[in-house]
Amino acid sequence: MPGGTERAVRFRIGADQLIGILHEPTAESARGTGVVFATGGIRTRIGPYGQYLRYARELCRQGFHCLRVDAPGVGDSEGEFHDLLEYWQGTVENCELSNRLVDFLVEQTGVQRIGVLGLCGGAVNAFIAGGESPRVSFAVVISLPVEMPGGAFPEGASVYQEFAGRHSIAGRLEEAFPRYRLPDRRALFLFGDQDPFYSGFMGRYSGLFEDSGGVASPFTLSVVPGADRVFAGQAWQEAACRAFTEWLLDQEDRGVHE
Amino acid sequence: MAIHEPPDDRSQPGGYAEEPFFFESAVHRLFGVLHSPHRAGQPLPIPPRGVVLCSPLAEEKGIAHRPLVLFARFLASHGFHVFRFDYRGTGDSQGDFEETTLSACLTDTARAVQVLRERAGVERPMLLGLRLGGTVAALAAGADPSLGPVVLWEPVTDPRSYYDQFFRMAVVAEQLRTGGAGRTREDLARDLADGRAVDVLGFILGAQAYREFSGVELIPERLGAGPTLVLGLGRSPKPRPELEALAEAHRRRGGAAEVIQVPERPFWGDPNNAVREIASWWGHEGLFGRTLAWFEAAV
Repeated sequence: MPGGTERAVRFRIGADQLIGILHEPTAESARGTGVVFATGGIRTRIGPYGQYLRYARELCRQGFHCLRVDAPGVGDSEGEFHDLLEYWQGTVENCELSNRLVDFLVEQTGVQRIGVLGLCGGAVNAFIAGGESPRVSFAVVISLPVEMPGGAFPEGASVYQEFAGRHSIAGRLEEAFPRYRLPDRRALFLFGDQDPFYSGFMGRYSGLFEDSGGVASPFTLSVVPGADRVFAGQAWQEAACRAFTEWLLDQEDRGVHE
Repeated sequence: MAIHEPPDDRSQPGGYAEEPFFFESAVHRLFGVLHSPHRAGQPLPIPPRGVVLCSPLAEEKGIAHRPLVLFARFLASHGFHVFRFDYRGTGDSQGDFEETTLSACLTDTARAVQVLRERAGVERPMLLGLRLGGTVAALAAGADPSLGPVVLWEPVTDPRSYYDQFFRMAVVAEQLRTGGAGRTREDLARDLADGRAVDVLGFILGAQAYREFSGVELIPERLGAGPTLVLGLGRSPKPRPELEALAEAHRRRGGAAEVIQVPERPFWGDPNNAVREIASWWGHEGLFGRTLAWFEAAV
């Protein structure tokens, strides 16, 4: 296959077999860096509108190992869940799966540097995992859902408000931010400018991108004009992919993770 | 291979094993998962029985994915090999969605049938198709008389209208987003007629794919002559007239065709709500049970 190979992989958590795809670049192009795709919620390893697949294939062409796996109870993986709301929120915040996938990717490929990429609920997972997991060096955080002070969601995103029993994730995000001040941890925040969470994010966290005390911010912001929250158009996906690929390659070229 | 052990009570369904893998179809690598029955110490049906699942396309495929996985496991636990696969340009298979033409789907389905024969020893694979996958399954059976019985879950009998529906949705979404400056249905139709692909709700529909699917007619000459179950799903007490007409077309072809209605909630449309979507994965005992009973009787 041009740009590398893809193989089906199986991964066990407890009694559940999880099914996924491992994208492996050619030996000549391999960079020794891997990306785990965090799904979050009920989306499969394909990602909304197939974008995770496209992103993984492009990153693989650029020399990155990529791993996409269906979470327990979702897609092709085994497992069941019965409490809808606990699952919905639990998978977003619980980084145990992402950590296990990171371990699996290292075992399978020997990559030395790992990042997590996620959209929406997967973005929350990617950002938290990027801050908490000792093996993770970077996070690509796409369409991060952001609460306003007081716990409400921005105008236009009120549909997220309707989940009874939902608890705030702002605390987990706030805990993760300072962890990115450690050396060699970076995060790219990527939004569509039509995403209501983009304005909410900027209203609350725009200061993150400022340098502090002579130290460059570990955070980068990229915005895709016209794109909605889930990058439902292929042109927007291509723009998003260009943005985070350039960012990743820049990190590689600058040897940020050395 | 992961194996699920069956309960000790032999009157209960057995276990199953699942294996994901890539296989070749023409110049594409396709992804599939083979579910195989497994009953430690108990005999399996001889000859092996097996079903190839033909999935819907685009967003319906993603939304219906989990129920189809659950059905495959259900069928496997009752002694059937089940092979689920992604047509080229869909799921994890190679290719772009523009390449997912009707002829490509038929080629890939034929290859999936071959894989089921080779890997599971199934001599007369059966087909089950959902929505446009039902359209594909009906035509695949017509092209291969060696196939076994076919089940069509809410097949799309008029693909042109089916695509028109998505064009309307795409146009409305775009008009809302652009404040009325987006494309119209006429724009989409003109692009397709001129051979250009169009982005419809995030899926790039190729001109050839649209031509092939929208031009298909489920006429007797194109259908299989084997036993066929046409199944409607929804609250209506009777199947849609189009499904009755499809069953009649099968009978005119010389096959035994039955049409039934199962009063369960459809699970392939966008519920626009994650909780409702998860809820749609369950509660299909009637659909699964009726389909299993029909397959067991038809084999």
